[in-house]
Amino acid sequence: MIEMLKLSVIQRAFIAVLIAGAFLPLAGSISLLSGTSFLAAGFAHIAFAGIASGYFLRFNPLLGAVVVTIISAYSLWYLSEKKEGKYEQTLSILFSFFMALAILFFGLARTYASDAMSYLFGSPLMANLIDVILLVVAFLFYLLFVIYYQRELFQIVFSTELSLASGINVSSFRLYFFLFTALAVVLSMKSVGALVVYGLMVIPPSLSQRISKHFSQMIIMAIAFGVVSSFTGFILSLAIDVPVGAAVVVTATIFYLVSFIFKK
Amino acid sequence: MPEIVFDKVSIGYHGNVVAEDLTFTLEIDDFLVIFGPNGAGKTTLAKTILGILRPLKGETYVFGCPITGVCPHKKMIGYVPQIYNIDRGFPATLYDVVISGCYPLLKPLQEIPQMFKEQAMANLKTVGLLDFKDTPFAHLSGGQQKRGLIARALMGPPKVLLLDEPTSGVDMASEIQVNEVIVNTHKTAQIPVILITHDVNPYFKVATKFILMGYGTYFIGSFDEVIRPEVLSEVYQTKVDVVSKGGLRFINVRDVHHDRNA
Repeated sequence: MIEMLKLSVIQRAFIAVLIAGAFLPLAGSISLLSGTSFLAAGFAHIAFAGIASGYFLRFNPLLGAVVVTIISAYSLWYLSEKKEGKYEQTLSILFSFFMALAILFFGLARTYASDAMSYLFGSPLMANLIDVILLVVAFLFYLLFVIYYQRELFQIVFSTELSLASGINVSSFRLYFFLFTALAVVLSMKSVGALVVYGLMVIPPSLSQRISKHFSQMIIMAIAFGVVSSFTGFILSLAIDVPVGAAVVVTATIFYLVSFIFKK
Repeated sequence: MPEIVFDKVSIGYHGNVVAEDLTFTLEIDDFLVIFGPNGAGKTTLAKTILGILRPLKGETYVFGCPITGVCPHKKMIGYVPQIYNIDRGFPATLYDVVISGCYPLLKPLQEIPQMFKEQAMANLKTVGLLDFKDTPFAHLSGGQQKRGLIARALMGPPKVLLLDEPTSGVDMASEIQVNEVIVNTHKTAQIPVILITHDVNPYFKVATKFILMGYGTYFIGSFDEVIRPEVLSEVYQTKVDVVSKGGLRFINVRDVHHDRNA
């Protein structure tokens, strides 16, 4: 196994999984506290339509996924903020519509795109250098954003009313948050898979929330749990040859269950 | 110059006018109580004062600067909102919530000045919650949360304290404590107070001005101008009495839940 870790393709996959393990819990913490946990599941399905469109129209599926997800993140924000649509309903409608589009595109493509399955189940070994660079850059960007605006974010998740009264532009923050969450989901899909992206967004923050007394502590611990779960999951998948995404989420869930032994 | 000036102001949102032609001032020693039936626009008025909603018409000045312009007045109103059901797992201690009252005054990444840390402790003492500073905010009782939010609002300190239904959802004993904190703060810190409430009785001794908001009508003035059976009965559309007992006066108002469109 040590020999395998020397291969550059394995190293790249390892980095991708670890960064996804940090990025998703970071986005997930804000999501959980602002009551928008469903966002990750929604974006993962929406991204799948982008991938399908890439196969059908013969361009880079990841590019398709990024474009489609960003557009739907913006639409979700626009419809729920500016047109007074209900957030939950709007997301559900976008979710179903894009899932339908995905099926439509795969049907029209008339080819069994086995490669598309790598987005569904995750296949970090297929992540190329650009995938990994995009993931790292987006993560660092969001991390700096959260550090720089931590006080605004604290106030927003605590009370929208108070934030507005303090002069915070809550609507703009919500847009950035939607866009970054969309990017976290799309760019992590190849390494951990669309099916378990949701798990990494929800499980480490939930665990961290159980044991944290402070906002910043919760975010730091969520990232830590995410990275440890990803690390463990990756090593497991190499050792016993199981899909990485599944190994990561099973590990995270075990950590979560173990946390019940300890009281806050 | 008064702290707050409303000159023939119309308030509302999404183009719907809730109240028209509001004219009043808030002076440094004022304790203004805003009351009236549900849906008459009490919270809309509060949001307009805070700058969350723009006035539809008229001139509004907060600390001498127009409310619609770019000005730092938002950081100078200590606001205590109505809050509901904070998630029990919300990761913040009472101290975290109180200290966050100074966040609008800080630059990003700026370390919290010692002055504000001391102020947070002093405010916690003022509201009688010093022993709970490390308790998760969500684990506090309703009354304690309100007092915590008052301690938060007093960070700065603010030039005006605005409280939206500070005793709603709070039991009777806590209600007395919350009101004591508000009245003492007004008197000792000499901060003008704007208080929105359903129940005006506890504030008759301290209030200097009243705004009674009805549907499409409102009354502004002193106790003798506003707290009158005929005025109250008109606004609440039910018989309201002002009774005197042991030198104190009370009004007997049943809250009327009107459908504004009915």
